[in-house]
Amino acid sequence: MVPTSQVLGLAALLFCIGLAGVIVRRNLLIVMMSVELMLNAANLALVGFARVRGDLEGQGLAFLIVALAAAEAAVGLAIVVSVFRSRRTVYADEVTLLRR
Amino acid sequence: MSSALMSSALMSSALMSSAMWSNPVQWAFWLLGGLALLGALGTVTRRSPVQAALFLVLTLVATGGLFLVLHASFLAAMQVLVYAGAVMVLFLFVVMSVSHTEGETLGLAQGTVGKLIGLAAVGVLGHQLLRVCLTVGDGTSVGAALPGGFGDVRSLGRWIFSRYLLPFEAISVLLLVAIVAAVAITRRPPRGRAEGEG
Amino acid sequence: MTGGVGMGELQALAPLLVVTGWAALLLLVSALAGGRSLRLGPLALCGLLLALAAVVWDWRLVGAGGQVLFGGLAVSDRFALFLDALLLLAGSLTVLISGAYLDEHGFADDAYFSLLLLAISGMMLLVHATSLVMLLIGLETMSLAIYALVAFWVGKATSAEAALKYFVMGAVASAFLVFGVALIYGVTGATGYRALAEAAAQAAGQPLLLLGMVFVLGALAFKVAIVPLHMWVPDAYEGAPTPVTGLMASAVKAAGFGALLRLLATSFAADGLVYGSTGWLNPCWTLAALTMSLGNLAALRQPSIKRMLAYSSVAHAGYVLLGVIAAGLHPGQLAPVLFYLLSYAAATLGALGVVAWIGRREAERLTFEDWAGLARHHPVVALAMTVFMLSLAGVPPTGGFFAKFYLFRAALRDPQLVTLVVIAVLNSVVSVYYYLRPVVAMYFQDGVAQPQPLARPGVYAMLGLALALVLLLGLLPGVPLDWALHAQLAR
Repeated sequence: MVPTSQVLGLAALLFCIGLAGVIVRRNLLIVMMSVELMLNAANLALVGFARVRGDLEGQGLAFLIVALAAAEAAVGLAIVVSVFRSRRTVYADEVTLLRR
Repeated sequence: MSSALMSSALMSSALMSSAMWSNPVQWAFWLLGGLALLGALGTVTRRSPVQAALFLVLTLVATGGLFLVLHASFLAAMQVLVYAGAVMVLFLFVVMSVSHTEGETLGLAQGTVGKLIGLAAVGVLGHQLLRVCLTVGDGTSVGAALPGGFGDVRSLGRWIFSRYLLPFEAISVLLLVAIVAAVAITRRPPRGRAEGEG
Repeated sequence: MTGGVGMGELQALAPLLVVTGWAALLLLVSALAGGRSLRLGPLALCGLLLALAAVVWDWRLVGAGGQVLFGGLAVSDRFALFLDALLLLAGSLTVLISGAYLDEHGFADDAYFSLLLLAISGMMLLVHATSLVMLLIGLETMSLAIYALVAFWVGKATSAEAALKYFVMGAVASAFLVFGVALIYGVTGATGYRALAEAAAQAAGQPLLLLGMVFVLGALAFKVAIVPLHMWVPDAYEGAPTPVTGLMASAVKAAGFGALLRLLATSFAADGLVYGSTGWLNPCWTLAALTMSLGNLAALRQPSIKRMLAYSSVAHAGYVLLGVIAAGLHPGQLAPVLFYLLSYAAATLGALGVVAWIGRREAERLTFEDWAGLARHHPVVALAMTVFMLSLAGVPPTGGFFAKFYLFRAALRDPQLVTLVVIAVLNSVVSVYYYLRPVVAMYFQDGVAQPQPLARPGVYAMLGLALALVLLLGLLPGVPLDWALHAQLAR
């Protein structure tokens, strides 16, 4: 039997750690992972509330949010790949200019 | 700083107040919760994205365990399969393919001052959030009587395909968007540009 | 409602279903084409017009009271249908100009139009949502598609970087939204707006509910660019392909404000949630004042017309927020804010259409110097741009004037909003200065070279339609206003 406040407190801590990661880290991939941490924390809170209320809606929401997080990760990582690629292109352009 | 101290004081008082340490469920909760926190801290502090990703896997798996403690058995399985499995493989795949060429690339908060301000803001928010969360429910424990099979595949499946039918279908559109978006963003630059370069 | 879907529910959501299905159809067509680049613009336009017809059909079908769908998860009422029509109109104008723009800038790809339609279907879901679940999914569908459209300019570094910044901030906003939904669900046990209204009224003042509301409303405020959360706007608007910028300024804003208004007016309408130190009225009031003032001040100093229009969209978000507050306090009076959104959408789409028209592959021509002397070579387009600028500034006889007049007059009836209206009027006066800058450049400065714009039929059709809409809304506002007056939220 776990008190509500502890589940929520843990979720809040995880959420804030993720937020701090987004703000402080400069590595893109770690920023994306921090966002996943935040979504995961929200899911923990949802499942905790579903347990308190004995109501499946919280779990249903958490189920949808896992799918939502996966979709977000896919698009985010695609953008990261595109940024890396365009930077490489920019770099390649400079090299060509120098050669001329 | 003071907010962090107060938060930890609140946290420990919440720990003390729960006189249920003999309970194995409580022990499991704190073990898994500790692992999740450890993983989260590792994720945001590791320098190498590969290590960060592995720490994130730890958090995700520990959260899956917490879901089990909280009577969400189907979600626990899905958490491990989809999240810790598929999504993290995607992450690691991208880490392996790009991170060797470039390292530090994005800072929402610029410079040390910006980061300190950002961290202070997170500290204030976290303090408020923790203060509210830890004092919630005035001692009501997560232990209300549950119907049998709460959170297993059958009950959750029935819920999702009756009450949550519309969101479920809408999520499939969302996944379609994600697929199309990912393919469209990562396509090769158009021919015209390549000719110009050549 | 347990299992099974009634035909009536599908009929009431017909516009949404048509747009989503059409997006899938476009994907299928381009897959069958096997790599050959098709021009899917006309086909996409057909889908949007078909959906517009479905809106008209549904308008009669759902009646004045609206129709609650899927056990309260979504609704089809005339408020949502009015916004649907606005979104489809903005989408059609965007599609019209996109074909030529994509060709010119060399990133034609068939996924573009499917993504555009999917973005619009997400927005429509957002305005039809009457539960936090559907709000979440609609917002995310819209956002993911828009991120992809911003990043669509493959090979252009600023496009990818703008999309990246927008994505990271947007993902954080989504995480806050999800956490906020979790907190609200935890306190009230409800996610449907109707159940939430009762539960939230009882729980008013509870800190956990308050945090949940702040997170959810904050995430919506991010999407519509309310001031402390607007920092992504200039980069994302500038880096995005110009037609996408137009879609973001018009449709994303309209959908976001629609969702915000419905949430405030139906779920958080209890006195304990509106007034007092923990109510949303005071913070929203302050944010509206800040948004219009800072947006205008920043727009004054922009060297690039696209960035100026980006900040102008922030300022307009402030005016709309004023209307949303007024409508949230008096849920019967939705017409002013709906009319304003329509008129702003037409004018900003037109202005960004001209920006897309003047830019060519080698030069986007975004500075005021690039526009110098335009009136001599292209008098008609210069005149159209002048009308768009006057409408954004709120000068008669354009739609913008009437929309502002109507919005401010409606807000003045509430004594709490008088000061805010005064601030808004002062801001409108200040904004005339920067809206006239491109006009002055076009008419009174000499250009260095004769510009060769993007002279394609689709572009001119789009500009003509936007111009007609702006003038219609200003000179003959009766008909659209009548529709807006019939647009009510389902109770």
